[in-house]
Amino acid sequence: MEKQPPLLRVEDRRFLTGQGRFVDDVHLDRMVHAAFVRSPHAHAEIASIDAQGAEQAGALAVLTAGDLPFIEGSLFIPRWHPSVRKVLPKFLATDRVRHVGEPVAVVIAADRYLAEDCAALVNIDYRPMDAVATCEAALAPDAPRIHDAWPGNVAASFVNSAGNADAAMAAAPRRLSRTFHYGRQTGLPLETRGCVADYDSGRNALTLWTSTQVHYAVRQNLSMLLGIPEYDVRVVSEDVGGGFGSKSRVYLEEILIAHASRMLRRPVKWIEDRVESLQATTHSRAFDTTIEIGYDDRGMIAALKERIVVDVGAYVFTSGIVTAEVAASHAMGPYKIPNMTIDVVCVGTNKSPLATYRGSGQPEATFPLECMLDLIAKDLGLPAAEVRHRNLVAPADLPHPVNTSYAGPCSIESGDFPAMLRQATAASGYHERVEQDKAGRRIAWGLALGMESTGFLNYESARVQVDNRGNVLVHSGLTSHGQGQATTLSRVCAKALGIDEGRVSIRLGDTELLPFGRGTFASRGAVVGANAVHGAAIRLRERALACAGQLLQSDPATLTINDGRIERSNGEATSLSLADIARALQPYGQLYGKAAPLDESHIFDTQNKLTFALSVHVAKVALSWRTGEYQVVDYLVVHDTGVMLDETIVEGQIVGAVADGVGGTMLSELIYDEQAQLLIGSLADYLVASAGEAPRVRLDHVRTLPTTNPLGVRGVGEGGIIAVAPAIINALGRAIFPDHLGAEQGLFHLPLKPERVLTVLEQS
Amino acid sequence: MKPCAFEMHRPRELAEALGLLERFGEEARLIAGGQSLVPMMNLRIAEPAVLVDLNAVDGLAGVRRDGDVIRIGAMTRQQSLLDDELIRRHVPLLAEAAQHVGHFATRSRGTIGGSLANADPSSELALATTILGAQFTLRSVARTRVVTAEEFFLDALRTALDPTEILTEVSVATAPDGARVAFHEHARRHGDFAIASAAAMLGPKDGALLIGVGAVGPVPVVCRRIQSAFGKRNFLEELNDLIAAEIAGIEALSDVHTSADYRRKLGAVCLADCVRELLA
Repeated sequence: MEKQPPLLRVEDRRFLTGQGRFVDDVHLDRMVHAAFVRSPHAHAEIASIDAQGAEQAGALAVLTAGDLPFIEGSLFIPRWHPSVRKVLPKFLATDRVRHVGEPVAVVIAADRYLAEDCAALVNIDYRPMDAVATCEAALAPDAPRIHDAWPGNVAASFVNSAGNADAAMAAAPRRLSRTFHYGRQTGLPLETRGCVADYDSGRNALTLWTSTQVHYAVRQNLSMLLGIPEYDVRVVSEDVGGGFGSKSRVYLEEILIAHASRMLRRPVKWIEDRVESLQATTHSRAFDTTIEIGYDDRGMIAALKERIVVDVGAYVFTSGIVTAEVAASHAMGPYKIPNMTIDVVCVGTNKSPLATYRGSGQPEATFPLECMLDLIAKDLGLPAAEVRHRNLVAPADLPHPVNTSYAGPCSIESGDFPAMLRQATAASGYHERVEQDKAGRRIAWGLALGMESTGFLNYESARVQVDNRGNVLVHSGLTSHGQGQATTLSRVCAKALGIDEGRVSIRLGDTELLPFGRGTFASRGAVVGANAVHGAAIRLRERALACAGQLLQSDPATLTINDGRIERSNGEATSLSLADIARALQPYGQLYGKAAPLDESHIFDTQNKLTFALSVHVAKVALSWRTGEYQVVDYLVVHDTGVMLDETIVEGQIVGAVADGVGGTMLSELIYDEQAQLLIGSLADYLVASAGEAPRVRLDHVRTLPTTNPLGVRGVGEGGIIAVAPAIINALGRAIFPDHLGAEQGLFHLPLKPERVLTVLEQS
Repeated sequence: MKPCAFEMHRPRELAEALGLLERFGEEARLIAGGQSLVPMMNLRIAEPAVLVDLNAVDGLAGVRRDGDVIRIGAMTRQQSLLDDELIRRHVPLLAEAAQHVGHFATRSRGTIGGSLANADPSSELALATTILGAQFTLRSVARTRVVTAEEFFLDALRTALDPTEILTEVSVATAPDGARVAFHEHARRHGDFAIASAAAMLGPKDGALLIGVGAVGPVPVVCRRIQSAFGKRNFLEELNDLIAAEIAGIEALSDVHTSADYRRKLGAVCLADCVRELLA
């Protein structure tokens, strides 16, 4: 029988019994509450703001831009693509608002109810202006200008190229071109953003509990903008109810709430509500891609040309245009495409700013490419997998260079992609016949490959200590927002040290634990964070064995640690345990003063090398010809995670990401009207996959070892989502046009509503 | 997402509840299961100054048989419509409809009376009661009156209820033994508001067909053309035309997710599926 992974993760008992500590669980003495006044207009001038009514109704403070000493300052920008025309939002709008949900004022009151009452009484005289609701409208010659610094409403533009795409395209015997729309979506964490700020005026020190993926970046910005030394700013994000990339940056609200706490000398809490969250937490996707591929009669791709238009919204936020950069850097997927030109234009509109959401540009790049490969296969009468095999990077091609604008030159240095594709088609039962089920629905399979670049952003830090009972405490610079870091890290530490996992306690999400770190995003937890813990634990083990060698008068090389006890390499027991060594190193102990205590820190630095992870997705879809409704009835992912640190965690990441991707393919969209009003205001409108829509996902693993990190792991947070849309849409394309090129173009629109599918069916 | 301040009353007797409505008039809102009203209040779309909570009122919940009629108290939870033996046996269409109402959690709190009085165009219970010719008892301090479901639903979110009235009871004739029912619905996800739905009941042997379509227009529609053509020669051949005629008569709704045209198409599919299922 197949071995079942353990049901519960280390953190599950706490979560399932309601003992998590999320921001809203923080209750402090004298704490007051904030509500934001946000623009109801997509584009308007602010003629005046009158807060008198709110103050009379009991507001403790009403903050507007003029009240902020740091209003001329700016959030710290880690890196921006050089083409970005830099316009960050002000902390609060000064004279103009540029999207629905832009904050104009903060109201502080004794409780949240009163704060909302008072917020409604802040009287803002808006002079509405013409709004820009689409990229097309934004690029029109007479379009209203969003920023002076954005001529033609272009926020950034760049070209990524290799070889000579024009010449190769012209020379290609066959060419196909299509357009793809990826709607505006968002990460939608179950726990919205929120923070509690507690400023201590006696010490000029600040503690901020916040729901973030990047606590160190939040600390850096608070310190810089509020003028408090970094050591006196503590940022805590202990339990975070989901991030999905939408919390991987500092936000204005965190600075404002901290400022309010300092001003009022009281703790201040702000919990973003769902309406706010849909407006003010960064959005993502929003790509329009025109793609052309030149290939020969055998299906060998000679040239790839894309024009990508990204709807970046009203500002370029602190993450810059990273999704556009990632999409352009990975436009070729796992294939050998010698000539390409990727022409990217980031267009400003009166919508919420764009940033990352799980996959961060990789789903956006994979959707057009993988759908085109199916069209090429149909055009040539070849199996879809065969066209991919002919172009795939094979082990003999490694290392295969990948030039990225965001992480510099990298390479695919390991992996066996052809083996994964073969395994996926064999294990899934994939075939290209179209069948019918009892309900008369058409059944067809589709496949797609997705490349995930993991372990982004150079380093992470960790510290491992042993107490005199042999218990081990791990500090990590990561955060945990659903990944189960405690489960993974305790396993990594236990294995490296030679102790039982139950002996390990994990602490993370608190800047006080370690002097610096990064956080959890970009599928970096295992690649960067776990390797930091591993490095510290390995060093600690060496130190412990050196001490054991002294105590036992043996060569440390002949000793090992097993279940917390020192053993000889031949398996013979000794009288020593890890606890004995920890005690010997303490004052009055035998080794005190002769060696440092069992306390090791380690920084793992990737030197910006990305670790690539391929996944192959195979979807079986049932399509109703009468309604255009479709259902994913079977799903298989073949993934290469390298060494699997914890099977439950890996599988949870992939299955969860597939469900996320199914929602993104079928349901999720932030819909704006032609005045750039956001029409989506609740989870009754912003639809994500629920248990009924998410398929049962079968998983299969191929294991090759990356050389980028000592543990031999690849990141796994995003591979489950990257290729979902093209796998499903290729299956629909197969169901509707089984063996010839047809009107698939109508399907290349995400989310793909049944209504749109029905239109394609009616035309076919 | 916090509601405005409001005054809350929790009467134990119906007379007391009616008296509060008389006293506060349009300032007051009744709250039953709260599954629609509470989110509206949190979004401050609804800002009632007074809430009259019906949850503690004696005698408003429960299902009983009264001769050929099943009487359902307005505060009966939607989940009870699925679980109650009398409903399952004698009003099977209502039990079938209730399966499509929200989710277990919302059905456990939401009530039949609350759902009907809210009169959402997509309400499955509104559709089922309309087709079944259910009678609604509306009470105020001054009077008690009985209206049919069809008379009750005036428009989207608008009913025959006066601000001083409470819907206290829904009564439905028991279905003949051997009656068969069908309910078909399409929504974006299971448990979401319907894009279109249809419900039907077929009496045993040569019995009559009751059929209607919901969610397409502002109120449920009884499909009388189909009902009267049923049993006649060529019924099946003419069915598509009959359905098309019924659908054409509805002013279909559209929203941010769904066009009116698509609602009509799905309404037709639901009607056809109901008929086919009952004739199978």
